[in-house]
Amino acid sequence: MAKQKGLPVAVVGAGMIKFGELFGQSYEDMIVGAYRACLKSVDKGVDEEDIEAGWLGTCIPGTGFRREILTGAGLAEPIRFFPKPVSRMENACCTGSDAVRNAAFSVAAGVYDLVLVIGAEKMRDIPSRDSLIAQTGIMYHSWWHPRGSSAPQRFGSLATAHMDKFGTKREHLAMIAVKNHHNGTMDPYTHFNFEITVEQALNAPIISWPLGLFDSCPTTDGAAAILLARQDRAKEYTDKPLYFLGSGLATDPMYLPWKKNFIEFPATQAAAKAAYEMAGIGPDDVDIAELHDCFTITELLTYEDMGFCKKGEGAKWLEEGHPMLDGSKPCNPSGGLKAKGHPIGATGVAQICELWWHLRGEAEERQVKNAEIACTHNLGGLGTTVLVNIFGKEPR
Amino acid sequence: MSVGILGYGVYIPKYRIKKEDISKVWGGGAAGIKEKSVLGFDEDVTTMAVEAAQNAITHAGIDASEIGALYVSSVSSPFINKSIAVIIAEVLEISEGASVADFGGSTKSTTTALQACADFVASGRGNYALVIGADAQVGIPGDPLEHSLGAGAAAYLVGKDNIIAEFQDSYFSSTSFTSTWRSDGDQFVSRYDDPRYERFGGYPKIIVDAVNGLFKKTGKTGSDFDYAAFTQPDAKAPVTAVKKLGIKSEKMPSSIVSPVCGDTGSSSVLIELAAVLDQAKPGERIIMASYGSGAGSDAFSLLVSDNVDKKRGQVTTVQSYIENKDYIDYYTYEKTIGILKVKGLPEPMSSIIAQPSAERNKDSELKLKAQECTNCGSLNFPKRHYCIDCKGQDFKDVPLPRRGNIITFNFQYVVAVSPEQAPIPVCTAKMEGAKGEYGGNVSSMITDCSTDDVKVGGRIELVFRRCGKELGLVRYGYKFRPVKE
Repeated sequence: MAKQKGLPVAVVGAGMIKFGELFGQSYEDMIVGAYRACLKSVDKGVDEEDIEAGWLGTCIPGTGFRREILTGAGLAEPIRFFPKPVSRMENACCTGSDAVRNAAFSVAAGVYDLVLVIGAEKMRDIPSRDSLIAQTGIMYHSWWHPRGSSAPQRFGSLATAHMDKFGTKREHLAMIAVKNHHNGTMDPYTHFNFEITVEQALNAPIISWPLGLFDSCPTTDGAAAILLARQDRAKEYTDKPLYFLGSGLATDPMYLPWKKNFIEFPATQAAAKAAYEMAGIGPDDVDIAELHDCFTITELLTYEDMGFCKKGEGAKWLEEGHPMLDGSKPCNPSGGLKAKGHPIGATGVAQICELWWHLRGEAEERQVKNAEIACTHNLGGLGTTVLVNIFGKEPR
Repeated sequence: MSVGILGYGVYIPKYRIKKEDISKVWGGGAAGIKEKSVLGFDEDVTTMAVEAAQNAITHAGIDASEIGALYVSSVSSPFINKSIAVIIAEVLEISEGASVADFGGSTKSTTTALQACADFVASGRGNYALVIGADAQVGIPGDPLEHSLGAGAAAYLVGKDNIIAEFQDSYFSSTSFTSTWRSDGDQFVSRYDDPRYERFGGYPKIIVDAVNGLFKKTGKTGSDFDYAAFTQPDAKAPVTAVKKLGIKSEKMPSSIVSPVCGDTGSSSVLIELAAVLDQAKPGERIIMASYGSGAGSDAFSLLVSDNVDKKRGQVTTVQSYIENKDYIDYYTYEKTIGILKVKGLPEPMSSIIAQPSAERNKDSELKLKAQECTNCGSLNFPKRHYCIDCKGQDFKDVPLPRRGNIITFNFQYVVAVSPEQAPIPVCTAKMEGAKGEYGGNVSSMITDCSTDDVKVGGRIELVFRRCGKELGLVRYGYKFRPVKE
């Protein structure tokens, strides 16, 4: 049986708070901020009572960031949503995207007509040495524990291998950082809104060679929210909804030595394939891509693994200007994780906010023209879980 | 313009330990002290000071935001270098522009802080100033000070209109004569073990000299005063001093608080004054004198005004704080003040070094046991249930090859665990003779190695080394080092 094309689901509202080091805002303040921004974005208005269920994406509220174990009530409590159902999603850096995916499935299944998804993460309150970059627990395997692994180390190991095999250079990674910082200066929601140069990026302190400071996204506080409606009811809320065309999720080994190789993310390839198939499109049909640039090397590999160019040609594709804001396939017009920040649970939802503005022609200075189809890409762990969601101006 | 007390409030914790309960363990006692007040487990000078201040502000009937100065005196603050006065100011919502400071160094500093409040108001810098004295000092187990040192706080709102008692004159006498002290790092208050000179040249002389100084300055004598409110290191010394000064003491005993609460340190003189004000009548005169070992004594004369009657009943009296009590036994007392140390919560640790996990991982981490898939030959390390390459479920136990070739590497400048050195080379290597597309690899840091020695294809070998520490426990295991060709 041929699988159905697209999901009968539409985005009818999207909003977020400005990401950053938000010392003045609690986790709950951020959720409320994103929720209000989302409600405000609904063109024809929405009665809050009509929202039937919620999904909360938050990755590490527990020991990592010293919060209590979190449930869906983490969303229901601050916005006075109870006793309505709220599920809490955690799937590493795909947390936000997977909350959206599961919320969309509930609508597609005909269970609900209108649901809310909020992604939020409070990361800046604790000192850097307690932050994600220095976490020991996230290295999953006992063997790694005292043997020097970290998130930059894991991603850096792919940079070294890609450089060795394909001649990719640190300069290429720097170009991605420069591009994303530049885009970020035009996005009012970013953590960082300053330009950098290739020289600055190359001369910055090394975190895990070959990755330096500007190859790494910051730890950031933030929250983002979207409203999903049944496709045939979308026009009750807006004349310009985003239609949910496809979604693909894939996995790969967590333990670093069990990777097939260090030059690709097989899970990105698999997730993209699944999402393209559901949407009935190919990589050439994607007009805008919000990609998971947790490190610059991740974005470069993702050009290849999403099929935007051939394996090993990511650096060339970059040099040719394709992912630039005025290129053939703008990647990370928002500034990406690099400039916008990466509040883990919020990231996948915030990427959809960016597509919401572009596909509706509301992205102002950074507006990508004539975009019809756009995708988000989230990658959790060292490509251990990858999620691609695809949206379009027209339904399938 | 007359400056005086607009309102006052005290706080005495609910818990008491009886003299007999301490004597049962150690014998001994302190002059005239039958029982003493003890902090609850969640109290300290800061919390006592807040409650006393709230009482005083209510009694004064003003808004805390109108207070221009807050001075807090204590010799048992939980901090050496951090203000408790500012915490208290924030809790009370005193405005940010107020003058806020901690006084200490001696229990006499309470009256210096009081004088500073009076000067603040008299100089016109503000309408209201708040002084707080609070202490919960601790004596060495078995020492007489263990019987005498209690806990309490008192606060006075100083102003110039509608006052209930007016500050008339003061006389300050500073001397370094020392009877008790607490040095940096000490938990307990120490004292000279020889009481002979103390009886002659200590409190009885110093406080009497200060009050006589005030008499001389003002032309008054003891018989001009109706009440005395003195700092109370024990319950007998103040009585002797009052008698010596010829102050009429028939209206009230000269030791109200100390027999049942002990020596409340910086708050002692202020609680005693509150007990007097709880019953004083308009027109009556009070002599107040503080004492601090190693500091001296400040004497003040006060005139009770008409307002005292109007404000009566608007503040919890000293007597009702004294009567509201629960007795604790000596073990509870020891635990509360930290003599009996309760083991704290265990250090947070990763599940990786927990006993069960350490035992489960022994085969791979200490013995380097691996498995070879009987179906595809892939080397699975550490052991698995389904082959990482072909999903086969049948394996043969094999030792992990000790040598391999680097597939990829990094130099770690920011390290999560054991940052003994930086940069640390970390690599993944294909082990010699190992089969598998997903299998056959090992990752680890490389020891005895400079960054110049690392390249893709380079040879490494596993070597047994220390692998960091957690909970103070050294972990052992294998790391890589370059093979000397």
